[in-house]
Order: sequence, then C-alpha cells, then structure tokens
Amino acid sequence: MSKESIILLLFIMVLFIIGGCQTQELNESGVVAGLGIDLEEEELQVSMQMARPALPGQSSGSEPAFEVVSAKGRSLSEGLRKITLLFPRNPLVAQANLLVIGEELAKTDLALIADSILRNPSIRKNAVVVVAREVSPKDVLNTQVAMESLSATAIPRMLRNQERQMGIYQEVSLEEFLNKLARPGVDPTAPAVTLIDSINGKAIRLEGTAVFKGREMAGYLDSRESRGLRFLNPGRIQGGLINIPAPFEGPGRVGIEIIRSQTKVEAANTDGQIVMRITYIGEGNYYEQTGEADILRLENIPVLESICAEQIKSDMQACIKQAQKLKSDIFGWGNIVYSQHPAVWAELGPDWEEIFPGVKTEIKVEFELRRTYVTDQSLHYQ
Amino acid sequence: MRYIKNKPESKPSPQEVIHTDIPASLDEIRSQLDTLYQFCSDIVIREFVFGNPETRGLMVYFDGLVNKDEIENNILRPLLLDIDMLDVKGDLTHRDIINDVKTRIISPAELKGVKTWDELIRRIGSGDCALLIDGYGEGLVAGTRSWQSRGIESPDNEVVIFGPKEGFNETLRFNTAQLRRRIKSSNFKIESFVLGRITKTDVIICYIKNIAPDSMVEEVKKRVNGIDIDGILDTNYIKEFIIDDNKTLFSQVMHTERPDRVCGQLLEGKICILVDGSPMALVLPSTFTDYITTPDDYYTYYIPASLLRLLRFTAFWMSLLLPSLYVAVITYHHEMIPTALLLTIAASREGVPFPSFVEALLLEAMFEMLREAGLRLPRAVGPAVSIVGALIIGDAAVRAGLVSTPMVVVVAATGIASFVTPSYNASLVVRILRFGFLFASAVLGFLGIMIVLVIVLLKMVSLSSFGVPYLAPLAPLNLAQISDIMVRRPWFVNRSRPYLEGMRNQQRQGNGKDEGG
Repeated sequence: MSKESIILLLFIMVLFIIGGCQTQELNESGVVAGLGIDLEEEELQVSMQMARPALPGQSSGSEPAFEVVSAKGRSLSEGLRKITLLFPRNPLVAQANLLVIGEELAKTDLALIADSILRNPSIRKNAVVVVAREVSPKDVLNTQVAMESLSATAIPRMLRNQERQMGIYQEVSLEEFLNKLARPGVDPTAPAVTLIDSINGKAIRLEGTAVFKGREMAGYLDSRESRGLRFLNPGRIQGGLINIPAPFEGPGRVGIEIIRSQTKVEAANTDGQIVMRITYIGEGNYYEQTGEADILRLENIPVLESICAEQIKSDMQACIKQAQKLKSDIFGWGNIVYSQHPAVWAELGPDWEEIFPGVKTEIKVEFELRRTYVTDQSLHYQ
Repeated sequence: MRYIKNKPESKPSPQEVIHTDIPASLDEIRSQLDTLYQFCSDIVIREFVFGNPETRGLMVYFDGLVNKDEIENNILRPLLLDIDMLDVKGDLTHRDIINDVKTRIISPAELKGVKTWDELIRRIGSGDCALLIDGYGEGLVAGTRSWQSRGIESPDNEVVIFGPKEGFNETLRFNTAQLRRRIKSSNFKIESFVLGRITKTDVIICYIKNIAPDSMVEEVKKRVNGIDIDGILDTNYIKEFIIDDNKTLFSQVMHTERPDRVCGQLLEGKICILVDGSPMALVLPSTFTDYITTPDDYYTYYIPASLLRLLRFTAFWMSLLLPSLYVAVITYHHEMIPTALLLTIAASREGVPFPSFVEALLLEAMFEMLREAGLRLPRAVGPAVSIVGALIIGDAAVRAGLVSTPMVVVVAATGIASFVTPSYNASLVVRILRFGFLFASAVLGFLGIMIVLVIVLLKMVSLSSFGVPYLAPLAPLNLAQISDIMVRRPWFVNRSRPYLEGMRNQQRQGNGKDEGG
C-alpha cells in the first residue's frame, strides 16, 4: 500500500468520524417562518410559526398553511429548545424571516434576548424586526393573512410595499436593530404591527413605530411622525406619497409622489451648543388633484414645491418633537456628533440622554417637481 | 546418439525461420513458407514458370487483403504472357532476372525488394503480394492492398453542426491521406513505426516540423519506441504507455475521430499518433481546456461560439457539482434556500425513507446504469430501455415514495449538463468525480465540497502532459492566451499559437515571413 493511498484512506475515515453528525434531513425538521418572543409571567414565551410543507397546486384542504407552536423558558435558548418538548421535528430557525417582539418584553428589557440572538448562528440577522403593539406575538403569528399563506412572509412584504407606495415605515433588519442597540448615541426603532377586526376575523395592520430608549421601549411614533423619521434618516430613499391641501381657490387635495430624495445630517457646534443641520433634497412628480383648479401653470410650480417642502419639514419636526419628548435619540445624532466632533462628544457623551431633548435643529428642505405623467393639464369639467 | 543422428533432419521451427534471410532456392523457399504458414487457410501460394529459359517463380499473398485483378493484370500477365514481347538479346541465363522483372516487366506502382522473412511476413500480412524467383534470395513485394473497409463517415461521437463531417476509419492509409489532403506542406511529417510483436501494427506519428517542438517530437518517438507488447489494437494501448502520469483520472492525451480537429491541433504544434485498425487519433500534449472546446467553436461565427463556450463552462460545473450542492444545501445549509422553495422541497421529501445522500446516490447510479445500457444496446431494444428507465426512475420511483421529485429534477439536469461536455473522456472524469463530490457533501456539506475541490485542483495543477502544465494557460496564468479559453477569440485577432515549450514558430498570421512551408 502506497503512502498516498494510506493518506487517502485516513482522510476518508476522518470524514466519516467528524462528519454526518450535523445532517438535518428536511423531512425530520420543521420550517420556522417567523419567530415571536414575549415576556409572560417573568418567563420568555417563544412562538414559532411552523410552515406546513405543501406542494404548489396541491391544496392542503382545510388545514392552515402553518401551525404556531410556543413554549416558555427562563432564557431565549431554553424557550427555543423547549419547543422540542411539544413538537416532533427539529425547528429550522434559520429560515425565520420575521422576528416579532412582544410589547411587554420590549418595555421590560431587550437584554433578555439580545445576547442570545447575537450569538445564535441559526437566527437570521437579516430577518425583519417588528413590535407587536397591544397584542401578543403569538397572535400576530397565528393570524391568517389574505392572499398570503404565512403572516411571517406577509409582514416584510407589506413593509416593503408600503414604503414604496406610501412612504411611512422603514423596514428594520435584526442586524441593524442590534447594532443600534449596542452603539452609543443612537437608539433603535422598529415598525409596530397590531391586529384589527375584519370580515374574516382578525387582520394584521402596520401601526406606528416603536421607539426604544436604550434597552427599553419608550413609546410609539404615529404614522405622521414615522414618515418624518423616514425623511430624517440620512441617506437616499425612494418612493412615497405626499398629500397636501390644494394651494389655491377651493377645497381639494393635491397628491405628489416622491421619486427620490436624499437627506444629509450635520452637527454644527456653535459655542458648545449642538445644532443639527438637516438638509433634505427631494424630487417628486405631480400625481393628482381632487379639485378642478388649473394648478399646473409654470408660475404655480414653485408654490407647489414650497408647500411640499413645508409638509415634509413639518413631518420632520413632529417626529423630532416626539423623539425629544421620549428622550430617545432614534436619529443617531449622538453618533453623528461623535464622528464629526469627537472632542465635543467626549464631553457631552455621558450626558447625551439629558442633552438630546434640547438639541436645536435647522431644517432645510428643497423639493422639486419633475414630471406630470404625460398629461399636462387637468380635466376641464364643462 | 546414432539413433538421433539417423533420423531425418528435423525441420527448423517457424520461430527460427522468421529471423533468417530468404533463401535462394525456390524449393527451400517453398518448404519454409509451408512451415511458416502451416494451418493458414487464407494464404495463397502460387507457383509458376515463366520466360525463356524457363525460370521458376512463386507468388504469395493473403486472400481477401489483395486486389486480385491487379495481381493478375500487373504481375502475372506480364510475367507469363507479355515477357515474350520483351526484346531480350542473348542468353537469359546470365542476366539478372529479378532486376529485369522489377524494372521492365511487372507494373505495380509500388514495388520493393525484401530480403528477410520477417519483413516479408509483415508486408504480405498487410495486403501486399510477394513475388519470389528461383535463384535469388530476395522477394519483390508489390503494393496490392485492397480490402473491404468502412467508408469515410461522419463520426458519431463528435458531431459538429458546421464544418467538415469526415471522420477517420480503420485503415491507416486513408487516415493519413485525409490529413495530407488538409496539410499539403512538405513540413508535415508522417513517421511510421511498427509495434506489436504479433500484430505488427503500423503506427504513425505525425507533426508539423518547425511548429511542433523538436524535443517533444523526440520524446514522443522515444516513448513510442519503448513499447514492447504483443499487440496494439487501438490507440489507447499506446496512450497508457506514453502518458506522463498514469495514476490519475485526468486524461492527458486527447482522442478524436476527426481529421479536421487533428489538423487544427497539429497547427498548434501538437503531435498526433494514429494506429492502423483504429479510427481514434491521439493528440498530445493535451491540456484540460481541450476538453471544453470543440472544433465547432472555430467553425462558427465567434460571437455565438463564445457564448456557447460560456454555456459549456456552466454545464461543466453543473454536471460536476449540482447533485452534491443540492445534497449539501438540503442536509446542512437550509438557510440558503428561499422559504417557499424549501417548503416545496420539504413537501416532496415527506415520506421519503432514505436520507438525501442515499437518494441522490440511488438516482445517480440508476442514471449511470441507464446511460451505460443505452450505449451498447441493439437499436431495437433502445426505446424499450428508455421507456422503462424514464418511467421507473422518473415517475414510478416518485410515486412509490422512494425518491423526491426535486432530486429527479437535479439528477436529470445534471445528466443533461453532462452531455454538453464535448469530450467523452472529460465527461467520464466528471462522472467519476461527481460521486466523490456527492460523498464529500453528504459528510461535510459545503466544506466537504470545498475540500474535494481543492484536492482535485491540486492534482490538476501538479499534472503535466509532455511538459505542458495541465491547466495551462489558466495556471500558470498566461493572460495573452486565456482570452481564447473563456471565449472564442475571433480569427482576425488570433495571431499567435498557444505557446509550447520549445516552439520555434509562434506566429500564426501575416507578418510576411514564411510560415515554415
């Protein structure tokens, strides 16, 4: 026997010895589409939305497409593992695209779960985080969604669609969430979902944005403030609708669609006083009016633009006001101060929580109308 | 001792005769021929008397290998009848009859004198006919070869859409003629060897002088001459003797049945070996990239040809890795599959009793069997097997819950991809390696695939074919040549030949210099 063949044989033996222990056959495991965590009676309640494997085209009849399994544990991993006490298959948590955090847990302490989530390699860090508002995560996961078999895939999809169409909430990934949680000078947010009554029982609705202060949830932003939060986020955004009152004679509204916009946030340090300079540059298209006025004249366009800018600015201000009221730096201004004026941050950093509510802002909004969708003039009703 | 001595003198054995010269006396010749060709029913030995004074002659040939018309008209008729017309002055006894016969009487185009039995046996064995005349220890061998041979057909295994459709056949001369017809230069050399102690097979080595590196030609000749075997029936016999590394899966020599492909390779400085009786030509040195290219690439317009080449690369990787990637993903790396797809796969795996690896192995093995069965089936049975195969593997196995549908799709896609690989040799390697990868993926997932991939790559990098690195020009990297690997370089920019160590003439077109013939 040559040296090579002995080495090859050893190699194959090593493969057998070290390998094979981690195989997870699909028909011995359950696919977890969504994960919900809440605090109940001092224990963590973990709920998993197990997707029922189904071949396309084969209707499963009356069986729902999923099953929610939940277990309680004193820690997250204990809760996750206790699922096996009542479920015959190994849960594949790596497939979970949604993490629903219960309000109770959010208000208590995120540290209860954050370390475990960060360490657990099976939990997808690009999963979408939402907070269950006034309902339990288990109920959110247990809700049937119209047209969509799983609420865990429906919620991220709803978030993505509304951002493009309405422009209210922004999707937050688990990675981003944990990042903001850990970093000084910035506090995390997450969109909130709630359940409303509908014809077919309960339905899911996106309702506000949960604002955290450190490890605890401080309150909610309403939809207008959430919109402001989106405008205030440094970077580019695309899509969204602005609805402004008709600028001239008569009642009616005017709809403007945001095409793209860019926000820049700078911290200016004037005599030890931090002023946040926010510059927003946006472009939009004229979309509709409900009145009959002859709005689209060349001289009217700057007027429309300035009303839009005002609207955007007031959304921002509303958001800033709420955030300052909740004492939660969800905009990451502290972080901006830290990176632009490290010396100032060294001084202010420890007391940022106290300083943030009093930070002044200078908001500059430039908005430009670009197109009017082929039609130049609105209908003349004769 | 007396007793033995008084016995009639024992005849020499055929083995002893072979190495002797042809005797002068016709009687002796006759008796030696009888010894040599005892029990050979296909030999024809014809004795006759010709000329004035009468001279005894003998003709020997194998029935079925010669053109009898030619023998009758060009050899026997002139000897027996037309010799009278020869203006012979004086006494014939003192004349050199054999020389007269050779130069004045018989008329085959190809005529050669041989002096040893060894040579004579080889010549008549290849279809020549030998004329032996009493009193001269020399045989005249006339080229009268003619036998039933397969026509020049389009090769079944290397089909091209455009371009020449001729293929080699089993007769060496026809094959060299096809090459010579394409390369008319006097620098195109065809050197002949005889190999095989019993079969005495003609083997030729051809190359273009001044393009093929001399050192390489010498090395090939040396290796071919070193072969000592009883018989050579196909080029593969030679291949296994002359390759650099004979402990590897990877073929370092290219097989082809297409003269145009051989010529294309010769023009790149390669060397070709042909064997009488086999339509397969060996082209060497051959590197990995030769298995992914086809002659069709060079006969098609370069843009579609390049895209097809990319497609072929994709198919190559697919046929190598698809089943193992699939097994790795569904047993280890579930997070890589989108949820909807995972649910579909999971649903079809419900109730399948085997682990995914066993399932894949089962289907792959079944597919390989089906493929192998299909190769050697009589035509009439072929459709039956494909119906049974398709139904059993495709449908019944899924219905019976033995395998899952996605696995059937994966194995089928792999099968299709493996047929895209143009070279049968390469696809053989891929087929074997695929099982290695499958095994590794079942044990270690992606990590296992990577480990095997690295091992395979290391082996390939360390290989060389007649001094040419096996992965050239990818490793060692040659940027100038790599453009003709990933895509098909258009002819108008294809100015130089792929470099071979020792190549003297690398210029391919248009610098005014003579191209070496």
